[in-house]
Amino acid sequence: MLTATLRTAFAHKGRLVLSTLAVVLGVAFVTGTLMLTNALDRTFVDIIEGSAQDVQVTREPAVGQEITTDPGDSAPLLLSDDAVATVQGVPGVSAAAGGIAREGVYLIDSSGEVAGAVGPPAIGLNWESDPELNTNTLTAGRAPERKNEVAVDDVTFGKLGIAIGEPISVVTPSGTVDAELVGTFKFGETGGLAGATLAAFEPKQAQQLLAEPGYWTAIDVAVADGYTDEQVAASISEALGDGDLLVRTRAEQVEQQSDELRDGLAFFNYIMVGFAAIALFVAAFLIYNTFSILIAQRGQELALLRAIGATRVQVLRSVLVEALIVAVVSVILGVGLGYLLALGLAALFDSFGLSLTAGIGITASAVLWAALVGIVVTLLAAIVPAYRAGRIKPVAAMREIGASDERIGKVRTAVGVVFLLATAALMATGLASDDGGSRALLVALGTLLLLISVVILAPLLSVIVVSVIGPLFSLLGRTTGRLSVRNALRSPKRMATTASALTIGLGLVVAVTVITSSAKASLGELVDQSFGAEFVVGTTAQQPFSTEVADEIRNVDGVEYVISESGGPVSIDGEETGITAVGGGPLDEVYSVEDVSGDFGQLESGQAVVNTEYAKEQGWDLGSEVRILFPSGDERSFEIVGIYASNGLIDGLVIPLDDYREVGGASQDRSLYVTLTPQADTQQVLADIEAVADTNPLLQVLDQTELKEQTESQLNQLLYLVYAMLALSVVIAAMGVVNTLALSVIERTREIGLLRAVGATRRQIRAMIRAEAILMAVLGAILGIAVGVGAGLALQRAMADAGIEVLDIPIATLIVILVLAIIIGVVAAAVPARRAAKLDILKAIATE
Amino acid sequence: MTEPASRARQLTKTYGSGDTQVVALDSVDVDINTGEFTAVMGPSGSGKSTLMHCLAGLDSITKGEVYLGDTALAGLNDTALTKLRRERVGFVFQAFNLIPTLTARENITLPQDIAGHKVDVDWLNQVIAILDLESRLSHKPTELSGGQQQRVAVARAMAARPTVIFADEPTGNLDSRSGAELLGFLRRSVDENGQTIVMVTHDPAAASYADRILFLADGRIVDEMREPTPDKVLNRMVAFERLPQQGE
Repeated sequence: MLTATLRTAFAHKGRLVLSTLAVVLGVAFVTGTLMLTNALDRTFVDIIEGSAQDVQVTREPAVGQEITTDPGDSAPLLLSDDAVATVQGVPGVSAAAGGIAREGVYLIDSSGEVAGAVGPPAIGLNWESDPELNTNTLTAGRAPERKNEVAVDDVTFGKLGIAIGEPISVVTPSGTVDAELVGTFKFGETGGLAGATLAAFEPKQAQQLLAEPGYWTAIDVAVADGYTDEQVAASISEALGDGDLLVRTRAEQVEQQSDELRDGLAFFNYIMVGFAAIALFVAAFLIYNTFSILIAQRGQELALLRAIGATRVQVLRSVLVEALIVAVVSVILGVGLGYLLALGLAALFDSFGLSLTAGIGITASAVLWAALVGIVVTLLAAIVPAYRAGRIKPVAAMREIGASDERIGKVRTAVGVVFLLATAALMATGLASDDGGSRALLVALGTLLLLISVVILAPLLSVIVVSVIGPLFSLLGRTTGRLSVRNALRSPKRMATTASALTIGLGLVVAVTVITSSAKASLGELVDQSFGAEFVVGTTAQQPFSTEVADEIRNVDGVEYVISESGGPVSIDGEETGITAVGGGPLDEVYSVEDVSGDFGQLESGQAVVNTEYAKEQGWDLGSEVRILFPSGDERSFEIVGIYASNGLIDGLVIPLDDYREVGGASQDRSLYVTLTPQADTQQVLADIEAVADTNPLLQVLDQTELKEQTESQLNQLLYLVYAMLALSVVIAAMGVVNTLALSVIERTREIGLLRAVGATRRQIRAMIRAEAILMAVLGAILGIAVGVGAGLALQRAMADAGIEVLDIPIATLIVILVLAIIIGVVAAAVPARRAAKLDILKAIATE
Repeated sequence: MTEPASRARQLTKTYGSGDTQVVALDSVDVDINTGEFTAVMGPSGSGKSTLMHCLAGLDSITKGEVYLGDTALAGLNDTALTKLRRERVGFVFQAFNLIPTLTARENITLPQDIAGHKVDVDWLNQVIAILDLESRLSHKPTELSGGQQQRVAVARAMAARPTVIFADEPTGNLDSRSGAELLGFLRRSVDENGQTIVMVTHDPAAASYADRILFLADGRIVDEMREPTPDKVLNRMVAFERLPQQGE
């Protein structure tokens, strides 16, 4: 029996090529992702290990540990020279010194741009002269010794275009420094920085620019021989006697930082694996279809096997073994392709400045996952066809089995309708929910259920849709069009499975498009209606910048207010939450809000405003006292003076920026809103503000239109990224169309031969197959658009509170998707149509 | 008699080359007379189907000339041959004659539909009446009996008023009663409409419906018979069967 199976699989290998390819692509995506994240992980761990100290002392923030990335605009939590002296006196300490490392220090290259990538941190630090404590190694020039001297890491140096000894501008939280580049150094052991840039100053200037004179952000400790890190760490803790200080050994530093890193990478992994899962799900449709068709074609052969004594289980097993062969071949090829994919992505990362120094490797876990996923998906997809194969009766061997019309099961329709009702119920419950989080979750689940319902109902929906759009196909030639539509309708299940594969990918594309478009429209409307400022000054990636910028803009003629907005984590009644801090002018100058009770204007020290929902949730009213604990450990009281209805621009608890700064928040600005006096000459003011902003190449000055354009382009980038990810599943679905057509051409060899004999030209045969492909693809697109628009609509409603208030269905994009479907159909039909047209008439007629 | 509906001169058809070369037709000269019902008989491998395929423009010719009316088939490209088939040739095959997704009526008018020609409705109704298919027109092939299916195929072949109808074992898959009925229809179309028919068969009873029988062996026409009866045909075939034995 096994021999028979292997022979069959081998004999039909041509028909299995596309199924295999589909699984290969899915598996490659999974393994590629895993290998890439593994390389990222090892690269970052190398960096962490390379920069770790034997023991390091830092100040623990009172709140905000849940937020893993340092926003960089809070004042650093400092340790004094006294603390350093205390640590130096602890037994077992061979060397100890204060150190500084802070984000937001940008090196400006020879062309006036910021060196390095947008994303990875730009770090400023002090040059540590004690070799026991310095994790960096000087590679050229010399260390910074005097004020306004700077050394940079050698990876960044390569991109600067500035030679040692030449002047260099460095943007710091305390303003731009005109310095001299005096040397370069290698970071840690590998020199890899994954795109981050380093700028080292001599300690005094580092303190002045990045901390405060006499203060440090950490105390680095080298442990003497004969002591363990743990012993010394314990002694230091005891000597300092301050519960707010964190004393961590090398192992603890690596562990804590790696954990933070892995949380971030895991998120990236989930997203990528999610897209891979969609692709594999689509591939499963292809496998299911292939095996269903193969079994229909081989019905007589299988019946013969049954007739000569093979058991039902043996037949079932033979199909599954065939599937297993497909799976194993796919996994092997998929891992190979995944490796290449990871290499390609690593090269792409490298071109963005994020070098993966650890390199891509084929890891055991990637291979295991690939094998598991590839084999399970393939076998699951083949199990129903295999079961059906087992049920073929021996007597079928004596009967002629043609491609007979099939009926759509009543049970299937009933199950589909039940699913559809469940979808409606879930969506309705979700939309009726008060809680924004559960609303979005329920609607997202509803979207998934909607997709499943449509897949179940696809045969029935296909028949309906094809009956409606079918007549259009007579435009392609009356008979050819009619034959195509009839052929497609001959096997609604097969057509539906092929089309639904496309429905999944395109449905998600449409849903994401509708949401993004709605977000853009909402944002546009919000900016138009609620945004009171003339200009916004900020950076593209929300990097913080010096508060000097705001001070200088305030001095520009014609500027009325420069309002800074900031915020961060705080704790209220033991619960961590985020607050917004605004200063520099009255709130109502830049935010138009509705339904205000109390005041919504100039906030005085100790006053706060809050949005209606949050106030209700907390039981606050006008005059209520709110106690807020800040990361620095300070705790302050604020009086609620106004309650407002939130919109996408402003939400939650808002306190005065000056109060926030006093407790260590917002030592830098992230964005400034500028309003003008009535008499101001807008163009002149803009020119003056731009002159100020020019001191920092990161800064840009935007008016309302430009702000809209920028947010739109940011949303578009996100959208294109999602498109790119979903493209894989659309490609696999298109392969499904090729597959179904190719198999059905084989199945209909005699029919095509007959058509040719009675006078159909090759061109007409090609047109017929092409029309079938277009029909299937357009069907998939129509169902996809229906699902996508439905889901997009529900998601928009669910997120109306979260700023997506306007529904915008981008008709142009939907038309593009339909056209794309037609193109997919034409391309998918190319090979099967050519093959059908080239059939030898006599052989085709003679085929059994 | 008018000019032949179809003729072959020195028609040779070989498959393969060198040692494996098989000569299917060896310098065959034949005229298919207009308005006659010609049967082609011969043992398996005698070349009777190949002769029909070559005359009908379904298969290419190795050497010699083939004419349909006064059109030489050699040298026509695929599109020209296809056009010729749908306008001037009718086909009835042994099995699988119909497109399963089309109704009987759609199958009958398929060649005209493909060509984009107008259907001659009067003639069509006449053909449908002759073949007794009026009540079956809206049925799909799977809803028809074997005999009905073959009658639909004959109707399709006749609908375009072709120069020649080629039928390859049209009764091969039918029971004797349905077979006789079908042959009766073919006979009538010759007698009443002057249709030219070439039918390949190995059944003496079927062949006896023809006006003339051509006997093929080893790729040559070895004999012909006019006004056949089943007995005469059977006797002739028995004689053929004995020939090789006599030669040994």
